[in-house]
Amino acid sequence: MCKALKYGLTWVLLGVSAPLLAGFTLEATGQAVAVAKSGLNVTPSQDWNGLGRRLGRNAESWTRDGLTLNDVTFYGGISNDETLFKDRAKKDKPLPHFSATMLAPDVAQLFEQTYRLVNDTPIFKVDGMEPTTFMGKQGFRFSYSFTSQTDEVNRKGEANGAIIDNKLYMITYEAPVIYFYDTSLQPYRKLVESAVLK
Amino acid sequence: MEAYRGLGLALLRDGQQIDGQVALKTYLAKKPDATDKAMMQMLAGG
Repeated sequence: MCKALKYGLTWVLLGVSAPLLAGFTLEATGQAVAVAKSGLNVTPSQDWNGLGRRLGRNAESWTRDGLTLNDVTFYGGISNDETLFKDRAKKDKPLPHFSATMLAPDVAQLFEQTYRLVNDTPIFKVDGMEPTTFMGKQGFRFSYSFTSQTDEVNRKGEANGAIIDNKLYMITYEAPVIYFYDTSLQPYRKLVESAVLK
Repeated sequence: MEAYRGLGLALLRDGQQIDGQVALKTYLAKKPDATDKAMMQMLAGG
């Protein structure tokens, strides 16, 4: 078992919650909160732990048991020509940019290209895609799977989002295929259902 | 087959709605078991 998974399981077994660790804040059940420094608001159906550090100008992650075990990421209005995450290796591995003219399949491709670079892995696949309603607008849902080179754990993920007023709003969820994916899928979907733009 | 998909998406991106939808309908006719069928049907106008 990889180190990350071991430590995550230890957290779970000891009942240690992430807010005890520096850098996390409690996102309490039933309390509406604005995420990703944007108008995207969600109301959690159970407690989550918000990672204090943002992944991008308008990207923020939450977890229940540790980011390697279950990770929800909010993308709150990615504007034209912006990247999903901070472009930390701009010179060597520049991240692809969102375009306001993108269609749903293009967003999945943008996400895939970004993940391949950020996770340094060639093992990423969009498994399916379908139209859906997101925050009351015509949106998309796609599922994906990937294996990070750092821990070699197989993960599955789901993304729900929409392009509204030329900006990308999206909430993704991913977790190891073994055990964790199924356990937090419904709490994630309830987060998606609760999403509103204010 | 994939060429029709690419063409359809490119035309839609360019604002050429009708031509784009025709191309996507051709794609779906030639590949009825496409994994992205639901999404392409929506973009093709149902």
